[in-house]
Amino acid sequence: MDVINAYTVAAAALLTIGLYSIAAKRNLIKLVMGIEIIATAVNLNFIGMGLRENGIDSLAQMYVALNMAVSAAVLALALAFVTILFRHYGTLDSSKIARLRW
Amino acid sequence: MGPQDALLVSFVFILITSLSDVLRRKLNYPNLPGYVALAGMISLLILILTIRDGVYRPLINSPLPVVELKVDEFSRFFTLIISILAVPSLLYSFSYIREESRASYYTLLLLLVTGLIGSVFSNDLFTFYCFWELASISAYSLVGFRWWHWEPAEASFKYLLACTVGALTVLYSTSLLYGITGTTNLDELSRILSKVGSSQIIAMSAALMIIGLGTTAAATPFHMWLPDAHSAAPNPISALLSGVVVKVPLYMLTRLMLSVLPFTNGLSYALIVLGVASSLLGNLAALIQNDVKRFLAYSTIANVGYIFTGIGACYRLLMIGATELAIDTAAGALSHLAVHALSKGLLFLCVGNVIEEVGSRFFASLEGYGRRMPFTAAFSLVALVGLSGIPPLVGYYGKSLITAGIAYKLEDLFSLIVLALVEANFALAAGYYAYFVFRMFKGRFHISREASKTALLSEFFIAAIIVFLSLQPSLLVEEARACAKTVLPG
Repeated sequence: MDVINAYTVAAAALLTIGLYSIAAKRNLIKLVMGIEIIATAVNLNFIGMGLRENGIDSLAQMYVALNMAVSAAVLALALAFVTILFRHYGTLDSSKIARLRW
Repeated sequence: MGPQDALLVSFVFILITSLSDVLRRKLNYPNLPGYVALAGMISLLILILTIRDGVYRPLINSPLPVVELKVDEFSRFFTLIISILAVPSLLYSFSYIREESRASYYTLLLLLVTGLIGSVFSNDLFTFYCFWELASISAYSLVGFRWWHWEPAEASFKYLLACTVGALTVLYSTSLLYGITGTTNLDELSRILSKVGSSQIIAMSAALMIIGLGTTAAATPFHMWLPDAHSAAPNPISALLSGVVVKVPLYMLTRLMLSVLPFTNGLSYALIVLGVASSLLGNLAALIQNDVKRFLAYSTIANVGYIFTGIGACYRLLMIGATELAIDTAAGALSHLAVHALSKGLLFLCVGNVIEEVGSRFFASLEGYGRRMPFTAAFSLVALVGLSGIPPLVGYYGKSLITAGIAYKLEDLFSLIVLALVEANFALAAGYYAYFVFRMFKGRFHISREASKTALLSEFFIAAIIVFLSLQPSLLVEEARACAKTVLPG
């Protein structure tokens, strides 16, 4: 099976973008977007890995569908926390919020 | 009768617990959801203890051979630890959670335990991911249960961010393995990968597995979420988080590293370095904490480090072919894991008693509780003695087996340094546990009221098990050895 193709390379690029956004961004919404980008990268990677001559492996399709549901649940919870933090602090800047450091 | 039926029963109870909120308001019976959740948890545990070993496929007629649950000695060992800790935490919550929204608390607690048990039983990486996310999502919500205070809200968002990235890293690595082999089933993977042999992509996916599972288990460079989450969570949840939630990724790591993925030379060093670094950082940071729950949380990082080191040493021994000693080392790591889960859970509950009475988490305000709260003090002493690993007692065996695994064929400087650092860490940990005991009995404590009866009952349950294991340490070590034999190849 061919592991390296256009889809998996794009997925690796997306993964890097997502990790960069989590490491470097300060806005809480952008952090949540970083998580979603990583989830999308994983989905795309499953599709790229499941590529066969006659279409995409049914296993990969099922993984992607289930992972979309799981990451939607995480997204909902993350946005709920962002709302709560905004109510507490009145800002979305994580450098002004982070009272917990060490 | 299989694990899927037990999980189904548990899901029915989860539904009843969340619906019982309506009945609670009508009957004006505040603790009803708690009792329903307790009934659900006990029936789940009884069902699990009756399941026979074997491989179960719930969706037998489906064309996709994906959902596969496996019950063996190893997963049974972990479910036993989870259940021994879950029931007391639920019981403890009866007097501790007084909020109106307690139905959601008990629902989430039951979901957490169900997710953990499901992820331990799953024999497939994607099933593991799904159950693990179920457990994690409930854990994030439970840490942020008191979201109207700033600390839980912030800690749970941090926890969510770190652990979701960790879980997605595991899933990305799963997708790489799927691309190479066409399957995510662990037995199939180990069969195919032993034929294919090691390659760069497999080594990369193994490294990603270590990073992802290390993040969810709080190994050192990725540990930042743990002290916040543990100290901001409600007390019974801290006990569960420290006792079992950080241990389930270690279960998957043990299985993947030691029996599924082919051996790569650099990874044994990576595991050992991660482990030693976590134990060093955990122990040193624990020394400077003012907050007693943060102190315990850093000590948890240190103990996760010991287990990591044990897994790494076992990996190295398997690579050089010393299988007998590798089994011993894995048994050491597993028995240390069990001892730490029980003792640290008990200690979090005991400290929780005192924090509830005093209303503060500062070390200084806890001084002297040993003389005024005799039962809590006795239970904390049991937990501290279990953790410190004084020679004839049970904690000693795990630590000595891990050290024996590292000390085998000490020819290079690296293993010598590792051995010295591990020994120094054990001594350091024993030292600050002794200091904790000293502060327990020193100084003035103003309150002389004991904790509630249900809290003491739940603590007594765990303490009795630790005392029993201390009197019969061979029982635990033999059980851990049997587990190691089912996992390790050959």
